[in-house]
Amino acid sequence: MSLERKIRSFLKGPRKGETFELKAGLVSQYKGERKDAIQRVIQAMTVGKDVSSLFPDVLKNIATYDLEQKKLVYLYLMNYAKTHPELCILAVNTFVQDTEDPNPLIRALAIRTMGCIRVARMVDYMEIPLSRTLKDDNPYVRKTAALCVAKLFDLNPEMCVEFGFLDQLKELVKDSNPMVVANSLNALYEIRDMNTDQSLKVFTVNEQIIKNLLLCLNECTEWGRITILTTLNEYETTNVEEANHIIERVTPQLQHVNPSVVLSSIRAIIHHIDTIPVTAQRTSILKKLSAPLVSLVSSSIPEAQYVGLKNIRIILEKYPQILSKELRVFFIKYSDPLYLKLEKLEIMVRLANDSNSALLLGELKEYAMEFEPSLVAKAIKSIGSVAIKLAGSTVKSINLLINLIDQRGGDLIINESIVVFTNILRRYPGKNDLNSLVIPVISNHIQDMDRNDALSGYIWLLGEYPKYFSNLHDKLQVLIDDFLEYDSVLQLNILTTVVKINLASSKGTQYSGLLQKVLELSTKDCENADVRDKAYIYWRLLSSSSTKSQKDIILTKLPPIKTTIATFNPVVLEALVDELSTLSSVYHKPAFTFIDKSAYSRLPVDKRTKTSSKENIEDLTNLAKQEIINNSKNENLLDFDDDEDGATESLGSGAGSLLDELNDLFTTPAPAIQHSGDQPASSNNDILSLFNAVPQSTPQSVNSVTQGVSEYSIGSKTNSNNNNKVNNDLLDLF
Amino acid sequence: MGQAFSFANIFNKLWGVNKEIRILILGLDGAGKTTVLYRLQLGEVVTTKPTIGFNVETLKYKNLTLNIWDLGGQTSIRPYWRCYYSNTAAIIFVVDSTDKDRIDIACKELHTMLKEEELQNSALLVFANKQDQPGAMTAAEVSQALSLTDLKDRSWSIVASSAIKGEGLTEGLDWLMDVIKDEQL
Repeated sequence: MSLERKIRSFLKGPRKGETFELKAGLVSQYKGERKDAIQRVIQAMTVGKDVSSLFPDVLKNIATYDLEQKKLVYLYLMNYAKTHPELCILAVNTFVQDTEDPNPLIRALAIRTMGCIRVARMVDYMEIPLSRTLKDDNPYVRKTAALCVAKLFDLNPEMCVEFGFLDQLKELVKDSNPMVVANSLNALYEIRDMNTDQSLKVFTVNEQIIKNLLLCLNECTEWGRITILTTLNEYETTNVEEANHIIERVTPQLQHVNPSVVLSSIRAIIHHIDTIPVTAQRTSILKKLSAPLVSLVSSSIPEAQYVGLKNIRIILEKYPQILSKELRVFFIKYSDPLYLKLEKLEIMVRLANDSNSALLLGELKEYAMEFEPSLVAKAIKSIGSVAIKLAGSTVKSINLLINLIDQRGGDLIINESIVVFTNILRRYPGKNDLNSLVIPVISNHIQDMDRNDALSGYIWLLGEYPKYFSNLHDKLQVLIDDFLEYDSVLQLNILTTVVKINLASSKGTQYSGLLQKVLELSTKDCENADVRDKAYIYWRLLSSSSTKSQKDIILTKLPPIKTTIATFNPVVLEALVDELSTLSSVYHKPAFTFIDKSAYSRLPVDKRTKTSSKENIEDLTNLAKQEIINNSKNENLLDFDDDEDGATESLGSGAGSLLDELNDLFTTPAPAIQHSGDQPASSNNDILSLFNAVPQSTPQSVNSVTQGVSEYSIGSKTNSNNNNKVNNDLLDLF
Repeated sequence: MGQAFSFANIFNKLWGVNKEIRILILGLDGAGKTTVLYRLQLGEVVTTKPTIGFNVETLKYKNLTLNIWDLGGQTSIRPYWRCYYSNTAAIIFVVDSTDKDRIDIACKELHTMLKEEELQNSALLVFANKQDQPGAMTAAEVSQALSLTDLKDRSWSIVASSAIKGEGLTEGLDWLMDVIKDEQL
């Protein structure tokens, strides 16, 4: 070294800063120092510092016999490969060498890391190491390579197919090692979800594969089992023997500790049970399901219990008898979180039958005495559901509620009970004993009612059973005095009730003053167009038609409701049973309603950048507007379902808020119809009853709003038909 | 941090124990760099594929620990050679003596590389490789083609070699060791 240079470098002095320090460490002439520097780099990386500038220097340390150091460098590489895509190829040689290493851990590590480096240029060099590791002797390496095929497919599907990796992966499903089988299946599912090429057939299960899967089932890890059980659920067979064999093999899994395995097994069994022709055999299989279902609820984790309950609700709907003897399991524990308590009530109501009704009602009464308002409300509603479901328990339930009102009272209980009473009377119309039992109680608590649903129930009862109320005139007078202060729902109800009473009472004179007043109020002073229009309709009807047709139209009885327990639409139910133990079973919505396929498929990058720009959002807005205009031109206002799906796809993920608006637009008509069940005398039903054309039995639409919305928005045929029918009727009116 | 400043490390540093000397093997693709490396390390000829990236091996030679880097020579990878220049004690430039067409390219690559600031203190050893092949240029011819005589202020040497037969490699390395020892001490 020349003297001049030495002096120069001395004068320059060492460069400072953490990055320089690390850099110096990474290229140090001492092994220990290099490793130490790598550790510090990883440390900085994990706390979120950007150490990507050290990429080339870290990369130099990749070729080492020190496993620990190799792992660290691989970790760094996975993290920062995207920042230096062109430099990544410098690591190729080491990767390729490592896939030949005698240590299977290193072979697996190398192929895994190679797959994780999501750089297009890397793909060109993956062919040899990947095909080598796919044929490795060690199952751990094979399964890692199997997963790597899915990663490769994501980067370059054409190459993945061309080089035969997909076919090799399919072969691995028949592997002798359960771990390899399960992971290959998972990789195939990933590929199937990513695949956008219609002509490419990714994976079909056949009898041979199923046989192998069933053999593997018992030796797999729990996650492997879930994968295999999911595959069994997708497999269709008409062969009775095979179905029997599958069920036989799956049944032992029902005892597994992992609730997800249990649920997946139940799902697989339910899927294949219909193939079995003998009813007795089916029943005996179903019997076996009850114990595992109960075990889901006895988990110590409340969240797991909740998921179990949600799934049980779906299963119960399909097989109502399955848990009929297990009511006690679902009794609420003091320590349960609220969401669990409410969900348990849902199950209990569904399990109610004549033999356990006494026990159940006693239990429900306890809950109604609790302190949490939502639990109390739900308990009272549940008592009502039991009364409506089991004719034998009606009187008992009513007495129980009356007791509650007497003993405890309070706005909440009274309001809820009155809603329940109204529903019970709608279930058993014209029963003298029930009316004389219930109506005095309601009359006594008129002042305590402050909620619209309770009030509208009361007002409807006034119109339906006027002779059971004393001082009817005064009661109506009070309502009419406050007419303008009420919600439009109540105004509509009052209007109808007064018209009904006038028409029903032969004397007419006593209430005609009230009628005059209410019609004037609603046509002149009321701001709500619905109320005004309805009043005009009544007015015209009363002044023009014959008495007979007036009575036919206005006094037509509503059909009795059948149940207040929410049920799924059959199509939805089938979909949910097929998706047990997934997120959709917790949401109670089929997966396609909340999973955007386009977000999951390959190369969504372009789309995202597009939609994020403002211009495009404007475009989308215009598109959506166009869509709405087109739709409104159509005769069927509610027949949006297909278009909406189309719109969802084309809009992509970026325009979420816009979509919400659209959804609001589309779904608003649905809840309106929904409420008709809860509010017996609301406008829709009346308008419908006017024309004597109630298209569907009301209880069908008695659903919790969320379910209702989902059912209406998925566009299952039966429902949209119903909607159209209702809608057409409404349209005819105008 | 702690490990680097333990007493053992400080002593090792003072006495130069465990110190690794970095040597780069460079050259155009197909010159035989990887074969040279493994011939030096394992003493045998390995079948090689084009190196995408690099190989690195540690070699004990005359009480020195050599860290020998063999970098891929393909046109696409050559630009990344610069990543490896820092702390380099010596460069072994391997030339395919039979490849007369590309000797000019080799010459250009060599001189561009030697202009780098980080390599000003590195010694240069050129292997005129593949002497076992018929029609190979002699060391003198290669030296002239690479205009090695133009090099100023640098210790350099050229050795005719055959990595397949193992000829010339030790001679070259011996020369390199002498130069490095002078520089280091």
